[in-house]
Amino acid sequence: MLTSLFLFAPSSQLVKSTDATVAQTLTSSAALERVKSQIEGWESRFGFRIEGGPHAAVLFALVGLGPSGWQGLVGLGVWS
Amino acid sequence: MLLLDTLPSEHVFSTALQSQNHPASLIGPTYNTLKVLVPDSRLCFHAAHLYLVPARTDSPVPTTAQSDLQQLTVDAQQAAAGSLCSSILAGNTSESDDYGDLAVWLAGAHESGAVSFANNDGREEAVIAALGLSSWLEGGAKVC
Repeated sequence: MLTSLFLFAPSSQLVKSTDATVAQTLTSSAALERVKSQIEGWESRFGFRIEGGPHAAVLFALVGLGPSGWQGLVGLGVWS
Repeated sequence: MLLLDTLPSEHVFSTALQSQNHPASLIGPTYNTLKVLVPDSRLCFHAAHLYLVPARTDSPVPTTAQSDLQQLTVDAQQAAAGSLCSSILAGNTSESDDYGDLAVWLAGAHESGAVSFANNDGREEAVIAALGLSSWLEGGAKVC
């Protein structure tokens, strides 16, 4: 389930609702499992988002200490 | 390595990624994400391995990490596409359908820069600064 991917994502209500919706909608896929396995293998991890910046897009970042160093994902979302 | 100050046209970018044999489906979402980051960031995009790295990084990214980052980008975008959303992080309630998630490399585990990311307080700001996106926090923006 994707829910576990978001356990360390931003704790805001927006993300919680996104999390719930995604968890209800998505089904497991090989690609998703690979993403999860990579992220879950990191020693520590945290996520955050920047809201209200200069762009319409909201920036998400998910960062952790991976096998070789600090790495992560950045994603962009837009809500109307 | 592509400094985002000099992001080329989408056609040139597409040609560059196709020459690396990346899936065609990744090109548009990747380019759109880079376009948003271009005006502010001090990031470089590694076209061969599909990840972002701060332009001022002192040491090269380990080879093993490069393949890991590439796989992370590919997997995240494929998982998002398979789930009918653009970002695995933003989720499918986001209105955007153009942006793709990208892997980012910040520092090696034993480099001095890694310490700031490990601190409990302010690590979000440290990451934002490393990405060269501190200007995003101006004008009332907040980190959640």
